[in-house]
Amino acid sequence: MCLIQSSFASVQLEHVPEQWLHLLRYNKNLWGGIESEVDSKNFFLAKSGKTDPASELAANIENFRIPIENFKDPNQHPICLFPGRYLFLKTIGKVRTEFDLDKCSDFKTFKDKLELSSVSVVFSSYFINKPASAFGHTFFKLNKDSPLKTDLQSYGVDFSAQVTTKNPIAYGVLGIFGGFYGKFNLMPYFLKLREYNDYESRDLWEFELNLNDDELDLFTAHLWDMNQAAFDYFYFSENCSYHISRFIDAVKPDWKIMEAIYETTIPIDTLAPLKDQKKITQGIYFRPSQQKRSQQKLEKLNKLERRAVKNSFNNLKLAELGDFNRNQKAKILDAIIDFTDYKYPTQMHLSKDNPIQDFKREALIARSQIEVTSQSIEKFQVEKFDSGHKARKFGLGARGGDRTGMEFRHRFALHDILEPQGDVYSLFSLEMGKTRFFLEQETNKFLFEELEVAHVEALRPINFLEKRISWNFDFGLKNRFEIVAPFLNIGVGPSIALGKQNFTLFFQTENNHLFNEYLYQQSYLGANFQWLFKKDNFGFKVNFKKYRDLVLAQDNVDIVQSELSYLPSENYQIAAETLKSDLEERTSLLIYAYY
Amino acid sequence: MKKLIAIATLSLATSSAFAAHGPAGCGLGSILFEGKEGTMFNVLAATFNGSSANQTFGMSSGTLGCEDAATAKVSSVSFVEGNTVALSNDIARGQGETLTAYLTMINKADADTTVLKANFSQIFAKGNTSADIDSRIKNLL
Repeated sequence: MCLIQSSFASVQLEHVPEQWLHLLRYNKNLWGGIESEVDSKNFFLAKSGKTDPASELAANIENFRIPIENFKDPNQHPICLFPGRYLFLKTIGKVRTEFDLDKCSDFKTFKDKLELSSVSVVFSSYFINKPASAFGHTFFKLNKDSPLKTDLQSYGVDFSAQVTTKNPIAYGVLGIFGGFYGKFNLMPYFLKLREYNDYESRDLWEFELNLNDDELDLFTAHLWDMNQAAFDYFYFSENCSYHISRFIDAVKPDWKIMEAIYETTIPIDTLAPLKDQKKITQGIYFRPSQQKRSQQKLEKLNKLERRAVKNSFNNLKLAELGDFNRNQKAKILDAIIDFTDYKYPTQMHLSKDNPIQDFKREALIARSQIEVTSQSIEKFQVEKFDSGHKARKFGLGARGGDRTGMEFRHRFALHDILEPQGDVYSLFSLEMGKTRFFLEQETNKFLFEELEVAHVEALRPINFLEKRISWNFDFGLKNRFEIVAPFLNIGVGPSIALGKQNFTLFFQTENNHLFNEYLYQQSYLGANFQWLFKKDNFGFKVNFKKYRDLVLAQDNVDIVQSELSYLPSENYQIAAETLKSDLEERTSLLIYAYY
Repeated sequence: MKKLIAIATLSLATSSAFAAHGPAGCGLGSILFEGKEGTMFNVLAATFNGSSANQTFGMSSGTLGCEDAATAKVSSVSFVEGNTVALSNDIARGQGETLTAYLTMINKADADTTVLKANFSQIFAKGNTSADIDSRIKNLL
């Protein structure tokens, strides 16, 4: 449940400053009242604080007047527990008590350690090899100096669930329905870098927020306030990106950053306001993933040098490099080093010795003996951030073929392989909650046709070092002959990239079962050949499928499908689809609006 | 390995004043693998952005095993532990972001890194712990 604090007008809150509501995470609840999202009692000084911002405000003002001498441990003084609230109330004149925050020794240690010079929001992008990274992730970086200089000395703050089970099923259920507590956590930022950028090979995009010194002080103090806050964690709504956005909103309500948040929070969508470089963001930075860094080095090699790299990996032993000059040797070894880190992240981080580590140590030792210094660009500033398109869209279209009529479609998230990649996507589709309805002209019947719960396709073209498998899967519900039944399609196979084209041959199965053999049962097994062409805002693909029908024991079931996509602007998509099979023939023309 | 994990988990649970680089340590390995069981769990853990262990970190990163209890700052050994792979790459190549950060941290920002490059195999000898790596670098500079 993620209700927007669009209007508090219906509640009697004349004496409560607006920002107070943000700082304490108040929202309108379902019953028209007000309630804080914070679920820990320690966060409130008034008994009714969770649902009564005014009494909480009064209790804070009163408690802030207590002399610090009354506390054996000054760190337990209400101001030391909630320095953010104190700073805010002091600024707007609601609290007049002078209080030296340095007396809060724990908070002072924290503040001194951060040496905060600016704050960045970091977006960790998708890496389709890891289903875990499906929606991306956002967190804070607390910069000690320029974001180009001090990443490894800075701290990171994320919002994450405190996991209390090791049972994967319980994990999923509790994660979605608020069964875990979520909290803000501090860690050295290098751990984030190593985990996301290196270990999981994810690009990191960084948006440095345009906060002045007073706002930075409030930011730090508000982080300390959050020590007392635990939230019920909801994967789809009150997740990491939601809480990162609300945090910014609490410190700087003028930016109205929450307006970009819907009832479900998709991390990429929360970045939309951060693209505004003048007002909200003062710099955008990019740190390419380990995979990209490795790719860069491989691309610089000539044919012979590549062969040396390939031979080394084939035998897990350095190839003979005697014929190369020292610059070439350095290039080859650099490529080997980076590719090992990308390809074998787990082996590289295991404390136990393993053959991969031994191989890499051999490469490093050889590299250390060559007096050529080389440096890859770890991170750089960019002019702008292109998020490609928004995650959600709805579409309207006309259909011809066996049956004519109108189509209504909706997609909850995230990206189709034909859509523009922008800076964040690669050759994959990851769609969830894709629904299709059909209004048949002849009968005037409105039909539910299909719900794709998930549709995933990952094209991982083969290259000289990696014989990778591309794959797809698709499951949901389909309406056939007015009976709704589950379907499941899975395909695996090799893919080749040639410029803007991709050729893939999937070993594919398509299944649609009614669990009633007299009605309808589809079980196909065979080949699915796909040709894909992509250029900027344009994408086109054709699939030729040749199956054996396992139920009817018939060969040569042929299906031909094509899809076209063009985005005249980032808000609209023109799409066309055709399908021709023994069972049906249709062509659809659609216009989608992203929102 | 399992035993180690059990010990690490136990000491995390029992020791509130967690030392600079205890059994769980500040390394990525301990952060990523400690306390997790099985691929399915790993996938879900990352999906839901669950933190890897059960303890509450809050605004004190000391509990992550990265900070020195006395100074409340990241110690150089912890830095090595968390950045071993990148640091070894940089030293073998003679320069890089991680090496620069490490040298700044130990107040040797202007040190001659060719000494480290030349002694790579000694610094990163097989079986060397983070503490060994840290002290060998310091001895060389």
